[in-house]
Amino acid sequence: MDLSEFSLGRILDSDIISTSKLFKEYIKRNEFRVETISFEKFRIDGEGANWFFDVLEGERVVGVDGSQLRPLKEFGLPFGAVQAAKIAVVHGMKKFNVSYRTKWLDSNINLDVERFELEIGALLEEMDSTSHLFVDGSLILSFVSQFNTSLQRKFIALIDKFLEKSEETATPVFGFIERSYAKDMVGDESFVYDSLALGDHLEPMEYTEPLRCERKITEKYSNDVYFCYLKLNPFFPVRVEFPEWMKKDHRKYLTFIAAECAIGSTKSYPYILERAHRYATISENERKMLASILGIGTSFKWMSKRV
Amino acid sequence: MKVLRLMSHEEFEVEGELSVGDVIKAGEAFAIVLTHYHEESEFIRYAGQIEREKVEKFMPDLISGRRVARCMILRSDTAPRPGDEVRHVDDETLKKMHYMDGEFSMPYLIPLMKKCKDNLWVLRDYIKRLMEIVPEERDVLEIILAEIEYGMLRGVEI
Repeated sequence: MDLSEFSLGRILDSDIISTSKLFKEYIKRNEFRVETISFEKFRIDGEGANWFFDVLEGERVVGVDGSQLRPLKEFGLPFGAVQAAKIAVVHGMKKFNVSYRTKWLDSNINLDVERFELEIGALLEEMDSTSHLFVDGSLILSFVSQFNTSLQRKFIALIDKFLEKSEETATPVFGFIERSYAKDMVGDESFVYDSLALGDHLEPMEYTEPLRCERKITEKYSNDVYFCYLKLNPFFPVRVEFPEWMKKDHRKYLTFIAAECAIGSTKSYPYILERAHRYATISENERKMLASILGIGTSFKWMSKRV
Repeated sequence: MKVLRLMSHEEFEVEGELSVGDVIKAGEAFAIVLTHYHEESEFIRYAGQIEREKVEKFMPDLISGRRVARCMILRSDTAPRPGDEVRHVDDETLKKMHYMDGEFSMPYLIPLMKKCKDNLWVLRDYIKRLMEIVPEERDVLEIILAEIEYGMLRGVEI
């Protein structure tokens, strides 16, 4: 098969792996990049090889991540559980603390909203005007449209409270999206998303000016979340979101985020979120253990997927 | 001290300074420390990129290279979970743990003997402790102790 026979949407008589080279060729030929995209850009100037330590010295950073157990239904139990892990580190002071929150729920309860509530609740406790709080994901909850009205209200009330308290207490909060599919800059009609379009327009350590997210998500904060794209490696930029009150100090905050990423194991993802994720994850072993502790029946489908 | 992870329905690991033979309570579970080891820190993932001293100061949770104690559950209604606080069990609580409906019982004895087959001294010392705090059951504990000591001698080639 050659490239002329390939098009999106066409059924190919082969498996995905065999056809992937063709697909790659197709992307290459079609160059899904946006030529014209205008914005002001800024550069993070870290002086010296270890500039990030100077930025982070003495700063308290908090990260939260969650996990959930959905498969209990597969074992015949109508229950699920959510867990949030929070890590707080005072950089340069050898101080850290890890804490957990867990909630067991019946399976009629939406686990996504419960998990979000645990995560936001854990962060609200840290609003002390000195800490920097990191959320793994967007502050603009576009995904809530898939939920019913009652759940939407719950999600929105939580994020509103979060953003409101951030401003009240002057506690900086960041929504960090490593791979964003937002089209706020290129427009909804565009085939590609912002981060892909910006790939060629930003150099490493450059970021876009803070732009207001025009998507109307919450009643109260529909226009108050700003975003920047920050390029930390030769590939795609990450997206960072924050409330409007932080906009005027964007240089300071974007430098802080870049520094937090610089000490991460990949240098492109915040250390604090990397660690929160590490603590939040429920490993396969722990899941097996849970099945054993609860003494629940065997799901052969579940077992076969893990062989 | 906190529970680090569950290993099975009868074993879990604790981060902290514990000694082999210590009896602890984690969540609702009573357990005995069977062994301990030093866990490699996650610093290794960062090695070569950032000097150790900086990692210690800026990413302190990476460096600790935890001392981990593996424990066997003696009695529990609910298993402990990662993050649960761990504390030592005093003599009075340990004694209470062995009485159900007024009857002295050690339902964990056989599994514990199996776990300790290569270091029976852990079990011997534990039984000796029980003999001191539950003197009214000394007779039965002496029989168990004799069996354990015989097992220890059997393992020695003369």
